Amino acid sequence: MKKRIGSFSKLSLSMMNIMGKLLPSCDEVSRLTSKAMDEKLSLREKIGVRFHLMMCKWCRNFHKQMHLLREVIHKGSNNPPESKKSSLSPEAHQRMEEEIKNNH
Amino acid sequence: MKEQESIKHKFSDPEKWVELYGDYLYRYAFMRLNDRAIAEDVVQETFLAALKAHQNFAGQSSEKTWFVGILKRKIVDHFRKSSRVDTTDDITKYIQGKDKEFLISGIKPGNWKTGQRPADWMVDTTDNVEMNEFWEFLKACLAELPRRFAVAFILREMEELETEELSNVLEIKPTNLRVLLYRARKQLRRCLEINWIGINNKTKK
Repeated sequence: MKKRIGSFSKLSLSMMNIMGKLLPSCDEVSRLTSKAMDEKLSLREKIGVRFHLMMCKWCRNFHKQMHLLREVIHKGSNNPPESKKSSLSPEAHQRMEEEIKNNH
Repeated sequence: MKEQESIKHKFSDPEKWVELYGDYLYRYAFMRLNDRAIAEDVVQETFLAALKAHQNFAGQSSEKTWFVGILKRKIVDHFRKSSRVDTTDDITKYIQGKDKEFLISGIKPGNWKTGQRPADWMVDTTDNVEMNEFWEFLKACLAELPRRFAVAFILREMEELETEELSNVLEIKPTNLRVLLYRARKQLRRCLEINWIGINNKTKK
């Protein structure tokens, strides 16, 4: 019994070693997650990222956050939030109206 | 199609422009430039450029969209000039620096370090209070980045410039731009996690 567990864990260890060599690390996956937002990944890169994400919660969080940021920023950047401080100063307002008048 | 063509947008009286669009254009510019004086200058330049060019206004888009189009170019021009002038901002230093978030040795090199692991964000993007806070923290976090990181991020994510154009504007190689954007995103993520989401992994070590 003990022997079997031993050989099993040996097998899974060597499997993990092989996987570890084939799959990109968190370091690489977060880099590739960013890269994928700007350009196309190669097939190898895509597969590596996909398998890594299936197994790694931290990189899944990273991946989700990158896409959340993009979505929120894209949506908001054309509708800048209004607040009290977010309008032209009266001086600038007046200056622009005069400039337009003079150049019109 | 024909119906669409017939809807031509009218050009309004230039003397009403500031009243109609001034504040919107200002907010748009300020969000990206984060400086009142510069944002106001850029808006003024936009109005003056519009005056010169308003014969070319085809009426295909709304007047507001047309102004935003001019403003966008002015903003990109501003960043192009400012990144050229700012020689103190040594890009190679940032590009060559190592990523400190990951383990270098041990059984799992390349894994997230304990205090650096991205947390599970519970965010409700429909919550206005939360989202207003988001923009405040984003502004603060952008201000903490090295200047070129912030500019690259703003032009890519807010202005949605393609990377080819962006590397021309910043006058850096595409491979360096890739590093720049990655580091900007990574640092912003971390800053927002600590300040906006309110999770500080450091204390939970």
